[in-house]
Amino acid sequence: MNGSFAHSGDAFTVTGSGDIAPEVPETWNGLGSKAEYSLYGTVIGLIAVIIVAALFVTAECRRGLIRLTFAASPRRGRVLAAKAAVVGLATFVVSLAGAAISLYLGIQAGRDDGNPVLPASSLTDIRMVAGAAAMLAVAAMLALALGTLARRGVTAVTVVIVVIFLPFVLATVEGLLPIAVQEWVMRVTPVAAFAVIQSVPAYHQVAAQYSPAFGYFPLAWWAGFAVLCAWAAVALAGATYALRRRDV
Amino acid sequence: MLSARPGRRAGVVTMAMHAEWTKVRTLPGMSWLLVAAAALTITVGAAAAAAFHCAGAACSPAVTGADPAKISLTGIYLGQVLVAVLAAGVVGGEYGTGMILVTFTAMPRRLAVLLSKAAVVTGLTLAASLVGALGSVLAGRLLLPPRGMTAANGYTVLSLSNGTDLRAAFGSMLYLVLIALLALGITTVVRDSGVAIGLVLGLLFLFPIVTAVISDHTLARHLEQASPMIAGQYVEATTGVQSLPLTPWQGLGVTAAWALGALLLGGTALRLRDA
Repeated sequence: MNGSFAHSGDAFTVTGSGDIAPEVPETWNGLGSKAEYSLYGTVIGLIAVIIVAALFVTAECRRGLIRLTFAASPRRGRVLAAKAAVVGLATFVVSLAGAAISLYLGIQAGRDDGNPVLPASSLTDIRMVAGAAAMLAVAAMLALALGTLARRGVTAVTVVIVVIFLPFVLATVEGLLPIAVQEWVMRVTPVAAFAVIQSVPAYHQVAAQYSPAFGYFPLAWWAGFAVLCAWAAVALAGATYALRRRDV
Repeated sequence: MLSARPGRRAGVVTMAMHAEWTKVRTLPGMSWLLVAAAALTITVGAAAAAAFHCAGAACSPAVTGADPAKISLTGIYLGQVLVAVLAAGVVGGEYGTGMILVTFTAMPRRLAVLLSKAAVVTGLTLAASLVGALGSVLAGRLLLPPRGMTAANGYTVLSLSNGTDLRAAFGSMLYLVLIALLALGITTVVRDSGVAIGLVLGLLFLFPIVTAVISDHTLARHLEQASPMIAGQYVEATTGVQSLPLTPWQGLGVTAAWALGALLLGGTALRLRDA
């Protein structure tokens, strides 16, 4: 933007031409890239996490070790809670390190190549990194709960991938579905949690393409994360109920 | 019945096929999986067609960019998951229970076993995807014109007598078969259906997610050309075919190459290792 401003009395006079607005990459002449692009590797990590968490319980079911586990600690709800805590905590710690390193390296690499990566406050950076790790941890608990319900690894892994990845693809591939439908997918399915890695908000004074395909989520980061937590809580409650009711 | 064994080679393969057919036929849940694959493919396709709506000038193909065949076949996204589960179960189920030891004791020619499994999986997937693809096209033909996708607005009404629509329907059936064979090969390598299905679905769904965020258009285009899911589904395209990174059949060829590669890996692993 070219221009100047003059100060007279208690008034400022701004002259010039251009946009007085934040830079948004998704405008017609938008520049810059967004920090969360370096966190999209979370999606790859998610597959590994889902497999490990589901097999954490289904492998015990298949080999019969689960009988021994329940004989040793008959309070089954507690066994499930302990498993959820272990898998959730382990996932959180590992992915916290992974997310922090990839965010740092991603921004560095982007700026080294001359791409202006839009800056975010330290609090936003912390929310993105901790949020990505928490999202993986809760997704692991969801996979564990579904593994407990299904008792078969293939069923559990399939269901978790279908409720996470299929909505992700349906909601983020541009033009596959109408934008209103894509936004609803991003509100009600577990992928709503990906809002935790959104670093640039939708500025309503700037005309741009604010849709899930461009990384703008319809829910705030905490609300999106709450949707995933609700899915995991319902699945864990169902798994606890099933464990108490059935034989093994 | 010695006279009924003209060649030993043919006899082994026939026996292996018969054994695989018996095993797959009597697996619990297999028929449900087939019915679900067809029914969910049609349901999702019909839902996507029902979600389409346009009116007046906003209906021109240049504005909506909509492809009637591709919208009707949206259910293939879900159908491929179910056929992959089916194929993973055919091998992974045997490793899970230890049945595979009996199979290889009875049928020491392991490649014959793998080929018979592939043949059985191909047949079952073809049956399910025939119903799924034809049902989806029928749903699109019935649901799309009342929502503005009419010949008057410049669209072709879905019809199997139309060459490109027939290619889309037939190609998506072949696509599902190739995804099933890809899953069969990967499961043979990793020997666990849970792990295998995670790898297969990851391989399928990662490409569209990664290409969506890559800002380098050349790299994104190459990734699309290499992706078993994106390139394979070019076969469903009936509009804008010229602007695709590959022709529809070349795209399906990419999926075929992935499936063949997985089967070769599976076959090699079977020959080299203990069980």
